[in-house]
Amino acid sequence: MTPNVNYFEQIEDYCQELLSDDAKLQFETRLKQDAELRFEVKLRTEIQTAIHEKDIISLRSKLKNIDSQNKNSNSQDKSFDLLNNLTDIQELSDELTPEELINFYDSMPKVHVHQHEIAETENIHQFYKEQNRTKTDSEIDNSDDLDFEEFDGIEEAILEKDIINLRHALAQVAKSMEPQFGIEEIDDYMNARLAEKEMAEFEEELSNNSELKKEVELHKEIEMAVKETDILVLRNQLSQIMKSETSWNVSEQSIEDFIDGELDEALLEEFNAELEENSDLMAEVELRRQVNEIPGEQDIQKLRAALSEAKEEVESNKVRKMIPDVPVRLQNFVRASVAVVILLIAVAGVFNSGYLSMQNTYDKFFELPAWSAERSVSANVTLLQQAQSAFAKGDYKGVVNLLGNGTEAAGNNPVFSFYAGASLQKMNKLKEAIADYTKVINHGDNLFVEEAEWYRSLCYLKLGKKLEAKQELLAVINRKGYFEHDAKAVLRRLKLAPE
Amino acid sequence: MIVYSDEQILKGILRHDSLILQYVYKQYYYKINYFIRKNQGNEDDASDIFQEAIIIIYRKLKENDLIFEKSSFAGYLFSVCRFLWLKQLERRRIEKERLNDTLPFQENLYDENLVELVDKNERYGLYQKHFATLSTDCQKLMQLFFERVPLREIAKVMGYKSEKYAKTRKYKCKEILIKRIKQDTEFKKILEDDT
Repeated sequence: MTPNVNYFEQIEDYCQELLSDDAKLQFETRLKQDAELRFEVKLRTEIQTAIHEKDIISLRSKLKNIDSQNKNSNSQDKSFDLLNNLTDIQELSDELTPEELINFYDSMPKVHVHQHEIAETENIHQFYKEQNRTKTDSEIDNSDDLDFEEFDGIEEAILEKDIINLRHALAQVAKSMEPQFGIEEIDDYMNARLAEKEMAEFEEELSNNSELKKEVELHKEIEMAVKETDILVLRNQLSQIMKSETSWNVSEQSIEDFIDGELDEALLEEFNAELEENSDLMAEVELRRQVNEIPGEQDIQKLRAALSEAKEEVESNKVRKMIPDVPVRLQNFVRASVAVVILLIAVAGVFNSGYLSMQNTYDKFFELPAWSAERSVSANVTLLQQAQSAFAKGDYKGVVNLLGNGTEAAGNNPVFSFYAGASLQKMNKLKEAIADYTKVINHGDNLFVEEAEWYRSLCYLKLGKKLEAKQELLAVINRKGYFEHDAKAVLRRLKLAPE
Repeated sequence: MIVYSDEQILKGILRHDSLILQYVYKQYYYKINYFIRKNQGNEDDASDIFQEAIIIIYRKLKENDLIFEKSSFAGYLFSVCRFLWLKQLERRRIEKERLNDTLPFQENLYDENLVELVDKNERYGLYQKHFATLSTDCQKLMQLFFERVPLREIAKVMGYKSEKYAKTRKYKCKEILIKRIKQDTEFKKILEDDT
């Protein structure tokens, strides 16, 4: 049976003690008889009392807060355990429906979002969130309690922020220090191209701004410096002189006389004074002394000659065996031997009387090249053997007949041209020799070029063509090869030679 | 060997006579080289000092400010070289007290005028060094401008289409030059010395 509305109103009024005395008496009589009514009244009375328990409500609320805080602290302890928490996601342990499987890719973003939610409660994350907040002074004071030693990153981050601020401030300062006037304005000012008003402004700024004053001074000085073309020329000229000239103040003859002990007393004193301080002169005297000693070393000369012969033997064997390639070391050795022989012969006569004449210089420096035709891999071996035999016997005419211009073999073979040239030179047919050496030099791609230049220079020397000889010797010097030293020596004599 | 008088040497320097310059180099360089090597320098330092000393003498001659009273060309040259090297030593923070004086120098030559001229020469030398590193057309263009050649003429000589372009190009060249000078550590040292 559903109680009517009056029934509930009477219960309510009874609980609120709003009933009249008669109605109350009547209700209490019914209450004693009706158990259902008694339950209803008891329930409502309790509800009413419970609602009035504000202190309890407040306490519960506080307890709830504490509970939730405890939960938070529990989860904070699990910082960085991201993978362990994956099991908390119900979806991952549940059985998937086909639809969910189809939309499988959505699960990764869900995991990502979930991890973000976890991370939000972590220390590091919280720190960076706090960085975004503007701290009040009181908040900063409270943070003193934090133990920063545990957070190296925090300290660094704070410092970095300072540095960023400092950098920003410096950039601002630098910007403010930039010249307010550019090159164009300064230039226009210097050339009086500014309008009257601008000129007045510029001059006012100039009188107050020391930086601008310095800048204008610099512009003026640069202009003056650039206009000093005479100084530029003089400086260049001095550099050239210092590069090309020897720095000693004595003649070549004086050096030779000094070494030979034939210098006059007066000159000797002067020479010694310079020698004491001039390191370049010291070096030159020492070099010449050493060169003088070479001809005296008879035993060394004999040894060299023996070595040279041995090498020639090896070379001729190699030619017979038709082995075209010769190791570079051997080539160098042969070159060196040839050059040493030339040098020895040359040096032996360098300091004799009349050594300055071109004829004498030629005689001192010319030595027939040794046979080392295998330096060319393309040589005709049989022909070369015949030529070598003739060359060794001193039959230079025979060599020219075999290899020289106009022969069938000659063609454009630099080896043939070189030995034909050498033979012609030996026969004193210098012009023809020059023609052959020129072919070798023009060919370019062979190992005889430097030697050809050297021998051609000697040909010019003997022909009395001083200018050509000089040019050729300079080319040899520029190659910085084995003949460089000899070429310099010849060039020095050439300078001093009578016209 | 020919011996030139002081007067001949000075005239030779004034007209950049190669023979005279060679003579001066052969006659005196080794002494300067010896002095510098004895005092913590090397061959390159000696070349620089010798060259700059000749330039300073040339500047003096141009200004008609070179009078030898009790001195000679050699004495003057040595004194200038010694002064230049002392300046270098000071800049390199090397003690000057222990200087091994092998050059016959004259203290009375070190007047204010020489000090000023040496400073000027140093600055100008630096500017000229950087000017020489500019492209040939930049060098030519700037020289024409500084010689006050009219813009129209410059554009014509340089083969530029307009005067405006010549002007802009000149600014660019000057900007490069000034930037290079300011970036040079030597320039910074000169500024430090001045302050």
